[in-house]
Amino acid sequence: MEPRPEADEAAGFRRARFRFQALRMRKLWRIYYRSAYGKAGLYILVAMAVLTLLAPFLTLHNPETFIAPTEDTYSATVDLRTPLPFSTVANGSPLGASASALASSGSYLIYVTSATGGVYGVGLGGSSTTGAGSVFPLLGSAVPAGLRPFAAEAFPLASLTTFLANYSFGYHNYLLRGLAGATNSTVTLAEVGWTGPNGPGSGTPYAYRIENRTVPGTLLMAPVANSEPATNLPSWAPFADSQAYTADGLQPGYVYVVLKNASGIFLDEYYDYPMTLVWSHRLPGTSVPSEPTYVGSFFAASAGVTETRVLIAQNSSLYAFAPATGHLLWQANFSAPVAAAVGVVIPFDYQIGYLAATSQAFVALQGTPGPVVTVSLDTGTVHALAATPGPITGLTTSFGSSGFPTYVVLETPTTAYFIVGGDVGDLAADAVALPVGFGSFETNPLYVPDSGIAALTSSSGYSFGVSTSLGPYPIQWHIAFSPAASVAPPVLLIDSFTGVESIAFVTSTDELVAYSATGTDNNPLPPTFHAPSGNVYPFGTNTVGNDLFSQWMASFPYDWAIGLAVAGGIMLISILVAMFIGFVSGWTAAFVETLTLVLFLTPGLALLIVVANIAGPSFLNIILVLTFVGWPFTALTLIGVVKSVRSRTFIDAARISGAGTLQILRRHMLPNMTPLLAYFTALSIGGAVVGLSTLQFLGVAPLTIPTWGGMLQPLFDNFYLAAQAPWWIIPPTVTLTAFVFAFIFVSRGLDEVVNPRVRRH
Amino acid sequence: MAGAAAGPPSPLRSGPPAPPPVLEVDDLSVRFDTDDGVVRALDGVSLTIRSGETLGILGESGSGKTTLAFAILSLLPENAVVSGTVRFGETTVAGPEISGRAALRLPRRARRVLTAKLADIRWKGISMVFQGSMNAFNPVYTIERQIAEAFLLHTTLNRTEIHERVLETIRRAGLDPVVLRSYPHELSGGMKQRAVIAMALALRPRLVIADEPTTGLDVVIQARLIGELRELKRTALDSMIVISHDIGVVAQLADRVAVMYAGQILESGSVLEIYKSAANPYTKALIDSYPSLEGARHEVRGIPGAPPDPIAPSPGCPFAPRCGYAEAICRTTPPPSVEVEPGHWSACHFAREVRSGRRAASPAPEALAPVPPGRVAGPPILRGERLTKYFHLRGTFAGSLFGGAAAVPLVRAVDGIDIDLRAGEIFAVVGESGSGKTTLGKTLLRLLTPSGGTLAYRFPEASSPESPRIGAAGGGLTAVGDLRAGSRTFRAFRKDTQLIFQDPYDSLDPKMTVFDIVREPLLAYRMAADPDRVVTRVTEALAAVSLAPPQNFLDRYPHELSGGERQRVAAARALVLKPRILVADEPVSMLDVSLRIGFLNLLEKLRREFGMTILYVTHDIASARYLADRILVMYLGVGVESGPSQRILEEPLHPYTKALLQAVPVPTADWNPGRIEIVGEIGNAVDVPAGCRFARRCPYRQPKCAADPPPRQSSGWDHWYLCHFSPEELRSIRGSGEFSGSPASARPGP
Repeated sequence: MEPRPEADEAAGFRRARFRFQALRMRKLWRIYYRSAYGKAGLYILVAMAVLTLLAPFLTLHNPETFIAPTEDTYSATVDLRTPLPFSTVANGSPLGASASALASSGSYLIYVTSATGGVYGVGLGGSSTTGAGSVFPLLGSAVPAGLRPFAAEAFPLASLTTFLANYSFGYHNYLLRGLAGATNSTVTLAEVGWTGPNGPGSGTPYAYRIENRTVPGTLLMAPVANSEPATNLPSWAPFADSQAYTADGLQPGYVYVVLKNASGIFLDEYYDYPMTLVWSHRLPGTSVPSEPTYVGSFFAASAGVTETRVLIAQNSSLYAFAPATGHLLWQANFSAPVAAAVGVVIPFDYQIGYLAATSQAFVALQGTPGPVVTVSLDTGTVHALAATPGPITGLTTSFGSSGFPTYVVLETPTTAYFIVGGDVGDLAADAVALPVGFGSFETNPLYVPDSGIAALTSSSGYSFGVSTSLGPYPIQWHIAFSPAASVAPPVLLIDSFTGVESIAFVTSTDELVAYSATGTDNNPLPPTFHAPSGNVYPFGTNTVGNDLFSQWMASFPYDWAIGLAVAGGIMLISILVAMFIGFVSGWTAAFVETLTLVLFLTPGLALLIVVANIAGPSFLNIILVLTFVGWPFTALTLIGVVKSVRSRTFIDAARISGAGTLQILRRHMLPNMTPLLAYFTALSIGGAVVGLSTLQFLGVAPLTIPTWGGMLQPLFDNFYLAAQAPWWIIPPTVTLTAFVFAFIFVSRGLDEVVNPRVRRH
Repeated sequence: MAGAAAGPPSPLRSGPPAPPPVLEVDDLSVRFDTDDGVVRALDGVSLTIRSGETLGILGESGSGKTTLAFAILSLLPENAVVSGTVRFGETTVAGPEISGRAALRLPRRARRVLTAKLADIRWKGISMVFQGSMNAFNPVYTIERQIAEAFLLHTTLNRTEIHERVLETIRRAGLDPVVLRSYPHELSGGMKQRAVIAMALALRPRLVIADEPTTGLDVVIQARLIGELRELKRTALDSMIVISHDIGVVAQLADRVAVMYAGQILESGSVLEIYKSAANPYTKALIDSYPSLEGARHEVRGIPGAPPDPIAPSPGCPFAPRCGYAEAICRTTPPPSVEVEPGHWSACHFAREVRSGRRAASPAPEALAPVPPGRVAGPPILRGERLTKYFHLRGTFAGSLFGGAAAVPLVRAVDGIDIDLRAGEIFAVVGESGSGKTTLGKTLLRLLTPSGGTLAYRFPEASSPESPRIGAAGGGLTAVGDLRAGSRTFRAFRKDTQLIFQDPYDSLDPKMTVFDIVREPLLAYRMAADPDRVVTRVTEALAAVSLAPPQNFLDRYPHELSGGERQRVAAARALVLKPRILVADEPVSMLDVSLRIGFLNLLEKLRREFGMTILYVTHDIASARYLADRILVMYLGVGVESGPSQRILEEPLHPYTKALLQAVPVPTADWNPGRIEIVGEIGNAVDVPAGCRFARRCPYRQPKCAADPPPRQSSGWDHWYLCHFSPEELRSIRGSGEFSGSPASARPGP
């Protein structure tokens, strides 16, 4: 069938018409684009639109609250910072500190060993005469040349008061120091005394009853006593004449020494006073064993387990010796060597309380993934507990006072895994990713019982407190030891009277720093790109810890959405009202117009506040309120336009052409109002955002959604903030201004297009 | 650009020794930088005005005549680029360095000096009557205060002296000093225009520029004002520039005329030279497009096409595309200025041939001879009997509460008109503004609902809707006067009737393309279902109004069209439904002179080709005479005279008709507007006289005129008038010019 030429022509015409419309739009665009205002406004709006689209990806943290992680905004406060008048760095790393509790004499001291072997006590402020930070020399540093010191350990021991009919105990603090020599080493044990002219606690502390014992070999590690150091409870080990008390059925105090000589590696047990050798056991291997650990208690005989043990691991085996006899009770063999740095970890209560048949030691083995096994302290039976994806660099447990310890913390260089309540099920579920960029975590975590914290320390001088209760933000605080390059393993301090826990570090810059075990709120944070969590805070945080950048970013979609929705609503209502009044005359039209006028003349802000209060703060209500308050202005202007267009001849012409009211409205009124509509839409969007910000700033209708106005709200109550944290004020202010001005600029650009009057160079 | 010395020989500067030049314009070009491109508003204009001389500048809109006036007053806007100079006496008032954009670049100090100098020249040396400036009075000040302002600003006189001078000025302008205490709204248009002229004369400037001084005034007032200006020329004016598009006005006021077209002066010379022996095709065509009363019903040719686009000028003669004489050379080479007679210059390649008539123009495509009158006299198609249309003026709130309906003032816009349109005729309604002619047109189409009387329409037999016919109104007529707007009959009536509005700039929706505009009636009557058919019908309608080729117009916007093209688009919209009755409401009054006759010819063509009945509403009795078969003269809502147009022209009986005919300015030396004897202005239709509506202005009025309504008297077949006098009495008046009244005694002023 042959196409009608008419149809051809018509199709060609329609194509031409389309081309023509495109050309026309191009021309209008050129006029718009020539306006400097229009261009500026457009650029701002495009930038803002792009940011809006990117907002979901750029917004950090929880989109509900934008709370920055606590590890960034909380830090432990420095309780004590004392420069040490001697060097602590031996063999490249600082020697650790040691502290003790419960025993009055010396419990207000923290003990630090110098690189030359001197032991000093640093006052914690417990006494009126020993202010915080006072350094007292205790054990002389005049040790023979060639001896290498290990950090001295302080531990409390109960001592028997012999004058009483029955045994009675007093607590004293003791220092145990090892000085490694090439062939013979020296182990020093001393009691800390602190009695001056005005009785106990006055004057300066001192060491007395100093015992020096030469052991035949090179010390491989610091000597240990059968009282675990740096914990809040002492072992029940009476001092003085250990042999005699053993005869009485009491557990004597032992000192264990691991040394190496030509014959091999030996584990020696000495009575503590006087330091006489009980037994010496040669370990089969040649590598450095783990630190010996003593388990069981003085009263162990009445429990199911008959014997206390001292455990030591070497290579792939764990040996349990009977302290009294030195017999090997059992030997547990593993599939891989024991991670010596981690050692054998035994929940604290196992060491001091009843050794039950179910009590276990936790042993981390070398390898990747890092296996962790439990070893029955009674029989030496080995059970696999878990395996971490990375090699295990640290392990700690809670006290285990009621069986299996509530918390077992496995540390790998990047992650901490929590085994809560013995539930090994899904290790990853309770994994806490450790902050990136702060070195690897290779020191045994420190369990801080009352604060519910495990403090994990990294190789580059940061420490993070991880809450054992985990939650969305498990890291409670951070400590930055800037500028120290490295720190010695942390030591827990417990105030003997208040029970307040602190964590003390000796740094490579020869400082002793004690931090609180709880964090302090650092908000508002200034802008930073190096927060502990690895997050960036280009705008800092506010007082409640909201990340301002995220809040600002997330405000884009909401401010746009409210602006557009309100402008749309205003335009819709205004057009309907204007059309209604423009083409319906009489009583109803007069009523509607008067109503519009009344609303228009009502003070806007007052109306806004009242209506917002009545409606209540919600996303939808805010849109409705702003629309309700905003439409009369636009409507009145449009009414004027409709009335003027109505009086133009082409409306008469349309009517004479037979056009009905609807056709006139649609084909004549609307196109002739279009420029003004565009203009008003632009103004309304800006106006709506201003109105929203006003409400938010005044806090009249607080929303849970982020808005720029809402970000400024705290300023309304506290002008000091502006000086204290200007980074808080500037971004929303600048953005809000730019947003509103962009629309004003755009409307000026539109003005150039629709208003030929100003079309000129 | 070329300086003053290098300019071409000035057409107006040669001749015998003459008084010193007041103003010299030397090779002046003005360009405006706009968004759409560079507009060349003036292109090498040179002229000289000597003391005591009046120069008329004749040109259509866009010819650059107002730009020239602004350049002389150095009021050019900032986007103007000027070359050439304007010197006023010894002072250069416009030049490339000091006018338009260049002025912005002057050093601050030089600019201040220049501004002060120009401000001093402006009212004291050169004053201007701006176009439409009678509407520019500040409504809250008295006339005296506004005239006194000129003295306050430019002289150091004290209050009493100023008052004296203002009084003197206002008397000179022919106004009663009473007007000094009036506010602008209390004065009629003519009085305001006189006050504006008085202001321009106040400081006795050496040069007065009058830009369209009579445009917007009714024809009778215009004639009187021309007479007064001629009087002033003799007594109070040194030199004057009269700018107008109306050759009649220019001819009556000017000594010499410069004809401008597209920013150039195409011809200049004395008035008589130009009128009698024009040497430029444009001037000739312009004169030819005037339907003059003498020429009556001879064939009048319009100028085809539209004025050139000032943004994209053609290389040759600007008028070449529309010129009937044009040869190839005209389109490529700018024409030289030739002095055909001493003092008579013409810019044309064939100036002498054109002047002598040796060259004949090729026939303009649109020229066609009108149908001889009386040839078409079908049955009545639309009949109004005692048709009235009153408007209620909105009174005060208290008035409407307590005064009752009677207190609301009525505007009797149409008051008992009997009218009978016969199928296929062109019927003209003539009257001044305020006479109710537009209201009559709209009422006849039911765009307004009549307040009284009957309106009946003869539906075509084939499609007549089922509705009762009114037998009394004559065979086949259906009453449509009180039909409901939505009824079927009404819609059928509306479909058969169409209107072309006066203002083509307002009657087309600026947001619509031509296609959309013309399509609109099809949409309204749901005839737009088939898009191909719509395009065809729209194209046909555009072709019918001689917009060729129609495809070029479909997607253009009204602002891209010339006034004539717009009015044709409006006509196309009216035609697309193929109506039977077309009301054209002053369709050419806002068009350029050269385009008017073309549109009138188009109406004639529509009548001829489609058999349309056309009601032509106009204030211009000459064009009515040219186009119409019959004429109705209206005055204050009533018809005062009606009859075949030939008869009305040859034997006008009503004094008002006579005045209207006399008031048409003609470019002849012997025309004397002083002969117009009627007085005052039309007034309003609110409190109409009890007797003859025209009695107040009638030079022949008798006591009975004011008391009793005049009877309708017939003077032969189909010719009647409304007057107390018999035809014989009126004819005798015409013969003697005297009756028993006291002509012109009530004229305001001394």
